[in-house]
Amino acid sequence: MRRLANYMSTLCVGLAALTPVRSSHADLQGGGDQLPPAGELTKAPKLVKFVEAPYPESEKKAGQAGKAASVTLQIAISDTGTVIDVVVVGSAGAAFDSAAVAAARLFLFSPAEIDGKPAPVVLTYRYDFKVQEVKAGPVVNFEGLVKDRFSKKPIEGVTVTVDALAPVKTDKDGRFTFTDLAPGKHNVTLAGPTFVTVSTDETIEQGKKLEVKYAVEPKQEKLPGEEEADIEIVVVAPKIKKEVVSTAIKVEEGRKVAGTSGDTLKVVQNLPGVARASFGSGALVVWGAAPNDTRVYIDGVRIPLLYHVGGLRSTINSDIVRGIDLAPGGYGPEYGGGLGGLVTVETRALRNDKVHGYVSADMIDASTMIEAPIDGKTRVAAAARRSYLQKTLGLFTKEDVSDFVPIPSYFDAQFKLERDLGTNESLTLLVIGSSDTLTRTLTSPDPAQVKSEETLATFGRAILTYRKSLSDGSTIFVTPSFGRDHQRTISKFGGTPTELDILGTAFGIRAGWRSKLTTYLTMTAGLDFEAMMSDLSRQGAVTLPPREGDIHVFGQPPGDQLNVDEWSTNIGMLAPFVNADFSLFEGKLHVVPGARLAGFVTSGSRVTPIKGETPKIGFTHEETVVEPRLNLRWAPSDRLSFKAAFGRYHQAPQAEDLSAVFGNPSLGIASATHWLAGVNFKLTPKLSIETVGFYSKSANLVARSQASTPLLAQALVQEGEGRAFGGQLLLRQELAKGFFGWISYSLIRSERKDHDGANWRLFDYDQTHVLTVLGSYDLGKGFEVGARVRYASGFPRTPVIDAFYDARRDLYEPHFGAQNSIRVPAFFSTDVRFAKRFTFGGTKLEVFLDVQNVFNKKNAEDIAYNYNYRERANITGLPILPVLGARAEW
Amino acid sequence: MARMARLGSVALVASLAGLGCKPEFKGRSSEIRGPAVLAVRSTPAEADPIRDVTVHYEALVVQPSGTMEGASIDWAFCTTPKPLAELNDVAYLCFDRNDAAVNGDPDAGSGRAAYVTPIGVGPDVSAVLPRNGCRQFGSDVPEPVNKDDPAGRPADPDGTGGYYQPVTLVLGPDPNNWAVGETRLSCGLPGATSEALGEYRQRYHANQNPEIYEAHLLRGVNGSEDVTLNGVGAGDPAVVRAGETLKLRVVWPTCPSSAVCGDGICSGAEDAKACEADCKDPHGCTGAETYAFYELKSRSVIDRREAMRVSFYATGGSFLDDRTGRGESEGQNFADDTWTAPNAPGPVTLWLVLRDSRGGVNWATYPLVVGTPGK
Repeated sequence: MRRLANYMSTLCVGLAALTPVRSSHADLQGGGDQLPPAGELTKAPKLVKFVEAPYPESEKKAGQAGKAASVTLQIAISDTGTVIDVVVVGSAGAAFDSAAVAAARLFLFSPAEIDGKPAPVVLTYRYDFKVQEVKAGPVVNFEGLVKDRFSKKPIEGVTVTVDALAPVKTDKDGRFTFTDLAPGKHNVTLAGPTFVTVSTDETIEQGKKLEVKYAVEPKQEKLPGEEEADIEIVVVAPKIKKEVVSTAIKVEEGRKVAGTSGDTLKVVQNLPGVARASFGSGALVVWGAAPNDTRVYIDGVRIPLLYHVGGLRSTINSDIVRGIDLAPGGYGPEYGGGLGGLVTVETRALRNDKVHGYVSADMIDASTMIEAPIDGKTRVAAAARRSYLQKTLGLFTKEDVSDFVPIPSYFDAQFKLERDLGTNESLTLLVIGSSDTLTRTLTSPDPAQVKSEETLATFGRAILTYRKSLSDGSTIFVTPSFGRDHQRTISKFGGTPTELDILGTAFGIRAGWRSKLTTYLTMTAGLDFEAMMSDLSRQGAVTLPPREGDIHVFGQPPGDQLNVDEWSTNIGMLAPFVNADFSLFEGKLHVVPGARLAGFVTSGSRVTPIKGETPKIGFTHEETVVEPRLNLRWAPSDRLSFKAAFGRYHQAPQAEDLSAVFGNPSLGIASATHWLAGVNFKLTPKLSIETVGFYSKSANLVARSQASTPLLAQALVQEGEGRAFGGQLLLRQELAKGFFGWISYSLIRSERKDHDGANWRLFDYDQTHVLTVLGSYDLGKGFEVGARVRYASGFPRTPVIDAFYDARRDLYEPHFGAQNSIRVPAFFSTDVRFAKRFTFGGTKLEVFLDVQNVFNKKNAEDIAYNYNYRERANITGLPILPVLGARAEW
Repeated sequence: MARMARLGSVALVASLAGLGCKPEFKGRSSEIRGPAVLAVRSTPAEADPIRDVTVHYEALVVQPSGTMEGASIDWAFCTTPKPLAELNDVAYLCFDRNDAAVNGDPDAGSGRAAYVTPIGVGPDVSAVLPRNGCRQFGSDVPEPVNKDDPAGRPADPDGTGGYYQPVTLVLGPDPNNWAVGETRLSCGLPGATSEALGEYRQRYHANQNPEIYEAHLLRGVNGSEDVTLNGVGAGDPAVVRAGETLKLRVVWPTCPSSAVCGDGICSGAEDAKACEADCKDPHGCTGAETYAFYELKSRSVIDRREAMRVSFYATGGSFLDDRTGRGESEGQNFADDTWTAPNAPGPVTLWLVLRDSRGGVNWATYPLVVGTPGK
């Protein structure tokens, strides 16, 4: 069910009275003013008890009624609607201020609701003291303005009816008036041919004039179960600042995208700027940055994996997610520590009306979730998912397919508890966990060809969030977190063992404060601290797994030179940040400078390899950098906006690269700079087109030493450079008349230079063209159909031009041509999704069929060679893959 | 609903069965399509380079008509280790003739790469191992490129603890027909304590090239009819029937799992002092030897057993597997394959190459005659 907040409209309420009278004007705004986001305002507060302020005697001139004055107040109301604080933000003089505050303290509101539950909000209220002469005859005591919600233009000819009185029509300026309405509550109805008829209640008080503004939404074909659009609540408290370039996906839309099997978070792979990942990898390559350079956060806390091994599913249950946002670059100072993009996943507020839940199953996995209120102030939810693909396959094949095909087995679970501590403050505990295992064995009569692989990837996070809204409208939050990561890979290729084990403990604190200091300045300040303590052990060839930049071909046997190391590292980042949002020219121009002061500390247990009984010597590096960020947004009209951003970013080395044997303990931080500019144009209220161009460069990237005899403990060196540039286009139709979809296209070139003097080469993950066209349409009667078409350039590869025979190992080894000078053939695939919804009382059942690669196109995923590299052919990826599933929710 | 699920799952199985599959290529390594080096033997199989050991190299060179006797091979020692960024076993510079021309190397124009030391031309050659083998390719700290540079990174050992001196071969007349052979180097241990190094030196014995003890073609359901290949020669080839499928068994000597003084094999903790009979003129076993191995993970010396591989080649017919063998944990001293004779009568040459996991190699050549079907 869509929420009320999805139908934004505007309510402005004004009161006026005769001489000497007070009039007031309130812009009720709320929701979404917290950092991280607090939720959506689902019900506006409404003034149910107005208290008149006496006109200050000191301001009356002898023989005269007095002068006009306005006092602007910020009124904090509790979740019960009572006024808990009143602050003057626009003074008219001490006498007026005092009178207005005293009266406002006695106001009573209907409670505001955020995400369906009562919540405290802060609103701005203008209390006008006006001077009017008493006139004889009819008195206008109810007047208003009706305008289009999206175009903001007045609407002429709207029929406004108050109770059973004769209706009036709005004039060419969208205005209407009523005279001599009796004090009390009245029902007001707005009707017109171009919008949905709406109604609301208004209260007329004796001797006062009520001024209103209504914003109505143009009529659309309504979906079953959809609520009517009625009133928009404009948030006056500082809104959540979105990144200059970011694409947000609503869960309900993401679930319907073909090819995702209902997994909203997988939609990230279809957003502009994101390269198509090879089947089975799930890697996020954003704007030509390495997968490890793009960071994923949930509720402000970094997690190591967005997708399970193989990329079949995300590690976070979509049903606990409110939305996901991808900022491919140029993001603000709240986040840092990565050179690439930013993915932020936000969990949703839990419902407190009754017990909700769902059960879902398809041929890959099953999941469930339950959500319940404990008492009036506490809510909990728990979700879990487990895969069973290996067992599913076992039912239909005698062979143990999983021995030959990498089929991951995964599990994830989430638990969330929300507790209202009191007025304006809350505490949330989120615990998430994910586990992946992958085991396969390839037997062979040749002992050198026996292959086995065992992969384990687990992580868990406990995230505590404290939020409080202050009476001045500002918000604060503190989010401490703790987690454990475990990654283990054990493989054996013939007699060559490979083992990597990383056990990490993560700590973090994210804290922030956001406040609208003036009408044109919103400040954000905070602290971002994260640390990871890791114990690592590794055995195997230095070149396995290959790094970005290593020249190799698919299936090439690993080198048989082996080594071993065990080491530990502590990597920490402490970054206070500040951001100032200057809202100029009535909000049309936002200039948002910001900065992070990022301190990186890296320490390790061993600076050189183990040698005899020589005691180990540890190391510690510290680096502090200033990261300036600047965002500009200019909206000369409601439909057109321009944007630009700049930012500096730094990233600590990976713990696995700090080995004295396999890496280099002296590695420092790498850096990147992003520039971007773009324009957004709304073709219709729900159809927009956005194009963005960007350039990024990075330095001090870690690369393999090119020396034939590298120095001790310098198998890796920090001599690499990178650059990426390109543009992206997004034509997006938000849900309207049962349809949503988008066309995204990215044109990107990403290059690397491994050391000084080397030529620029294509980045291993460079993907020139990525085109995604997708849409979903509600056919009515519960039927739904969707499709997705994808085209993507192939990743670069290095051709083999010759080979020699290695007589000791009895295999051919390749000689390569120019690095990354050829590509895997382009990928093209069409996916479709069919769904049917049923309703049984309070339970909804959805059955869906998601078919990937419906035309069974044999897409190349990589290039393979025969035993002596004289023949070359493509490895084809996913053939047609139908996934049938069902989901019941209540 | 259930039927749909079943159909869907079947489709899923079919889909996944095709995931990541390599394409089928026509050529197989057991087929001989042109002049090729199949094996390079270093005698001795393992040596200490600082002892100025002379090593004899010979290669098994074949062509579709049979063994290529007197092949013209240009032999050279590779002189530079491979960079870590290269995934191959041997540095590309040891093959790169362009680099020789660019660097003004005296060998530019000779057809040789820049980073090699020629050691002769012919079907076999002998040469003294370069003394800096353990610095360039072994556990010793490499010589710095610049005099004042700090210590370099020693090479990593292979899975058996071995280091190797590469020797390149160019099989004439095609200058691009490259191969590389290697001699296992007796070097020190990386990062070991003196105690571990002492134990290792006492227990480790240089590798011995293996030998093919027996080879059999077995006919019948249980291999009841044995067409032994022992003793067959050009004048007395073994005869098989056209198109028939035979089991091919290769046998190597059985090695003792523990040292026994007087068994003629110097192994385990035996040395000339402890067992003069076996170690005065030390001989290793020519089968799957047990050898001392310095395990980097535990930093201790343990016993391991060689894995054995057999590569099969023939000028006609086809093998079920191009290679078979026994892993370290398998105690059997033989490996089997299946060979189907060609349908056309005529001579066929069969080559068997036996390798141990420490770089030792040996081979045998068997002339066969394919008769008419049923005879």
